[in-house]
Amino acid sequence: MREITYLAAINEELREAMAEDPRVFLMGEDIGAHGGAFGVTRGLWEAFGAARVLDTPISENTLAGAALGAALTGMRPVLEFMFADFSRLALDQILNEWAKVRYMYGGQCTAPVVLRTPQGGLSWKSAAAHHAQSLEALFVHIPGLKVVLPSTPYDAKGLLKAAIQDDSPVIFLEHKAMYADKGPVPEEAYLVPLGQADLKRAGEDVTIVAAGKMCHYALEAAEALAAEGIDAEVIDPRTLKPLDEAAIFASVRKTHRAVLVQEAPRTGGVAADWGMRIMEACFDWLDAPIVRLAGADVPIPYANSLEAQVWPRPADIAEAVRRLVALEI
Amino acid sequence: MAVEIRLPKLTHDMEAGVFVEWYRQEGEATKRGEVLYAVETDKATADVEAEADGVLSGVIAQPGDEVAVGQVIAYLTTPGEAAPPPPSAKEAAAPGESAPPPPVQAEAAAPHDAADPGAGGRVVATPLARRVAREKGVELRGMRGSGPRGRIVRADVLAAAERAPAPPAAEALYEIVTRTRVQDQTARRLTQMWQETPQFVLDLAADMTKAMRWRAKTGGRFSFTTLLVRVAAAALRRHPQCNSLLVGGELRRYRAINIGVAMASEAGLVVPVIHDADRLAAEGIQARLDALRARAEAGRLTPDDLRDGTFTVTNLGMYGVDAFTAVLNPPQVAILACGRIQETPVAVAGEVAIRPMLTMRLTVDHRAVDGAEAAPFLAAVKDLLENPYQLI
Repeated sequence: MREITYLAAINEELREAMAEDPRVFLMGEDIGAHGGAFGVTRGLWEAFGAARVLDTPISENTLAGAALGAALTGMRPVLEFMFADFSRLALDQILNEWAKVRYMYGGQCTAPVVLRTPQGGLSWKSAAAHHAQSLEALFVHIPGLKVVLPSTPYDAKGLLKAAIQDDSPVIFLEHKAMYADKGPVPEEAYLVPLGQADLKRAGEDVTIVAAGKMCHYALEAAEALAAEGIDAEVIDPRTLKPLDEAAIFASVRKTHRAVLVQEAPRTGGVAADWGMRIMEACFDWLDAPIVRLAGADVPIPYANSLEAQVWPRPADIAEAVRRLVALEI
Repeated sequence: MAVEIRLPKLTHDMEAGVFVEWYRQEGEATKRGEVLYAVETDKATADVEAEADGVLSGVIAQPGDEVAVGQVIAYLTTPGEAAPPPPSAKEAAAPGESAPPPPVQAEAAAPHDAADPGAGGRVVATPLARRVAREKGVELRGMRGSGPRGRIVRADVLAAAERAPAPPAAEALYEIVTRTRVQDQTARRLTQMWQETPQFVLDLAADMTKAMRWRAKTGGRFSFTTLLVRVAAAALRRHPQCNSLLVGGELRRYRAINIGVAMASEAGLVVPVIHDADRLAAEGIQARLDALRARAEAGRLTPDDLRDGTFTVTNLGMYGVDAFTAVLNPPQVAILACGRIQETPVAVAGEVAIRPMLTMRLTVDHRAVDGAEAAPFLAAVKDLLENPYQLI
């Protein structure tokens, strides 16, 4: 199978979706002639014209409101915010309108909006406090929103198709440190359903749950551990909401140990929720405390030396698993 | 100031008990007079009340512990007050010792060792280890696990299950039955009584025609045991020789008529008492019997329920027994055993008639009562059973 980048996979899906469905259109800052801050929409303005690839002013809240209006009148807008960090400017629209309109009008309307926005740090050096946050927990917390965080080009393309086709508002979080990562992607169209986790690596000794870039770190750790005879299973939820609990529970019931990894700050993060769900559903299968690795509860530092200490690294995950299996935790 | 909770003497011959459970958690407040814990004595499981207001602290006695009378089992403290160190720690420290604590103690104070199962007696095990232990019947108490701070994990339970020796072939032929303290104590007392007491039995059959009619007329509200207690109490009032205890060499004829009724309970044979039975009507006796039976079945008879019996009635009629010899319930000097009521051909005024007959057997301590004294009592019982309307 051919290999393309995470960025190219998203670009390809946007092209496919727009070609397939005239209701799909893009809005965002510099996404037209410039092709987007990271180049995700490159070539689409040329292909589909300025009426379907709308360059907008720096006005996230207005953008989100306009997208909702378009969605309510039958369109399927796909928004891009340059950085997930800026999505807070549009939170009133996203949390109070997108998420609730279908419910508050008794199902008479839907809000099929997709917000694509890159988040996260790591290897995208020195993005600092305003450009490197992982904000999934903020969206996961709001009933009415679906939240996606793909970790591979394949998942990114298939999940974006599902997100655009979905009648709920979907926050499609792209990890900016993975845009250049390559992976196999079929030439033909395909769909990865929302709410379905992926077993990225099968193992017997411990379950590692991690999404986005952390999923790759978990796989790296699992490789290192395999050389030591520790067989780790890696589960990528892919969709953070709705969460594929069944896949996680089945794995924990098999391995009896869980290590949960998130890039976002520890407090109030998705790993805390995963751990609680595991405790509720798998208590009698747990042979060790649930271990959580997470980003530090600090604004992301600018200095490389400090930034390097903020996020869990593959070695941290491997060490946690090692200690867990050795009964030191 | 912490108040010591010491195991009280709940019955006059109690020396120790088996601690059953606390009704308050450590750190929970209780009030004077509130039921605080349960302890199994030779006779019953008794609920014991708090003797003062306070917070339950420094709990020493755990379920299953054998505790001597007078032993400190916990403390009642004022809120915020620390419990005194347990007596074992006090004993361990040499008197007047002012040397610094040994390094072992310093380590024990480290937070990581606070959960050491050896220290607190709490089982520290993972949920999975507990589940596997339940499934495999492995006892976790006393086990030290391989996890941090001795936490028991599944591998420890599996290893323990592996180690547990398969029962030898000879043992498979029978199982050793665990006996309760009540059963052990009953066995000891009966053996002693059997060796020391010359006894005889008197048989007499009563025609229950009228008694059955009375019972039917009252809608079956009253059991035959109720009638037997009522009748025995009235007969004892007329013939008090059998309402006595022989204690040491002393024969004590009691003024109160307190009739014990033998009944089965989970803990074994118990004989709760209907006090002043001669002053109660059938309703009162039946109500008291029902209450006692419910408490006996729940293992919750109180020492008061079992105290001061002067005579015993035991009835196996409901089990279909024709007649039987009861063994004495010392220091009482007589016990009345009743079998079932069966239709029997009897001679009545020169004719054979079929009558519902009850065979009673009175067992008597011959040291205290002789046949000429016991017979009129038994005859009175028969007379009252045959003419129950004298009483009711």
